[in-house]
Amino acid sequence: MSVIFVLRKKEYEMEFYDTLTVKKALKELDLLPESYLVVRNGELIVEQEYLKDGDVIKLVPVVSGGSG
Amino acid sequence: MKCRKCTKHAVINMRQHKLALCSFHFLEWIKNQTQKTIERYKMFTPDQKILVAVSGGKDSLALWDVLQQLGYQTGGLYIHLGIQGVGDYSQESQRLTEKFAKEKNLPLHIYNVQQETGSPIEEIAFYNKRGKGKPCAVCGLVKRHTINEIANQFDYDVLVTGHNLDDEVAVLFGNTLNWEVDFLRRQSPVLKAKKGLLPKAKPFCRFYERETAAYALLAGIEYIEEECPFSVGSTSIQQKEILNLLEHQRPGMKLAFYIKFLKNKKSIFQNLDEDGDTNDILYVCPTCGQSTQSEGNCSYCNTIKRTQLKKNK
Repeated sequence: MSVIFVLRKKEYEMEFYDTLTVKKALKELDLLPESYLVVRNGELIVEQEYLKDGDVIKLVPVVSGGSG
Repeated sequence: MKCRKCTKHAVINMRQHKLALCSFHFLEWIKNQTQKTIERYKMFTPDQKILVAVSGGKDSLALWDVLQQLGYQTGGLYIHLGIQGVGDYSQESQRLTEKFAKEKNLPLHIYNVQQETGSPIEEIAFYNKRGKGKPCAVCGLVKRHTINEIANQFDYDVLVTGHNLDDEVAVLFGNTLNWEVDFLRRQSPVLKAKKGLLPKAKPFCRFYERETAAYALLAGIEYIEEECPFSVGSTSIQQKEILNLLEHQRPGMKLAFYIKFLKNKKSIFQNLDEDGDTNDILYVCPTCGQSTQSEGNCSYCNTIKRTQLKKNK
């Protein structure tokens, strides 16, 4: 099973065998949940959510440099 | 994970508040908390005219959206800095800001730095001693001057910016590391008016950056996701990442750092007046009429004059 993460227009594929939560996936990608929003099919999802085979997950960086 | 207020699926979990909410209740929570912050720090009242400094980013557009939903009289100011980068950064930011203002039927002032001064921000930085390589210092100077000019021209009462808690904490962290006592003394969610300067307020100062981004996303606000090309690798971004690492290990650390600083400011700085503002003496610039901290032309007028002289040599 695998999911695809899209971050800043680049795609990263992650394979998994049993279950995969958002929290675990972010840890594997070495990303802090404090610095990203996670979006599946246009919906925000929380860290505890399970990802499914074939999911395409958009990672939205939230850290910006100025006053925005 | 369920929403704390209903049985729907939570879309965000705010560990620092031990609060998970669905889309509807999160949007409501942001609006309610913004109103509380406005009242807590006595930022402004519904009868005042508010100028929102908008950049096309998540924070300022989300703030403008919340303020108009709360019924405040708002106008936006977008400053086109002439920054190119990938995908023409300034042009795209302006497009998104104009789109937002049009959809919400809100007044928007647009100020184009190149049209007004003859040079885009990079060129102004190039011809001046400040900010060789990176125009951030000049950018701040031009923005402050323009905001005051537009605010005075259109009779606004208060200026608001989209600074969030992560912005405030990064500044606080940086100023503490360097013991910038004067900057620490000035840091506040609201700055009272001075001669020729509008009062300034930051109604999003208690929201994490993640929350303002979530608001923009859930409210369907299209904002510029790309960073200003000059902010990539900046100290403030590095410091935010360090602070997020600490926050990850200790949820609520960023909020506590900021709130406890504000609470203890009066006991740390003895010459603060009642409203947390300083008693600086200001002069009037003979060229533009704006306030300045020393006699003669203000920094902005000197910078623009120097640019024009060097450019036409």
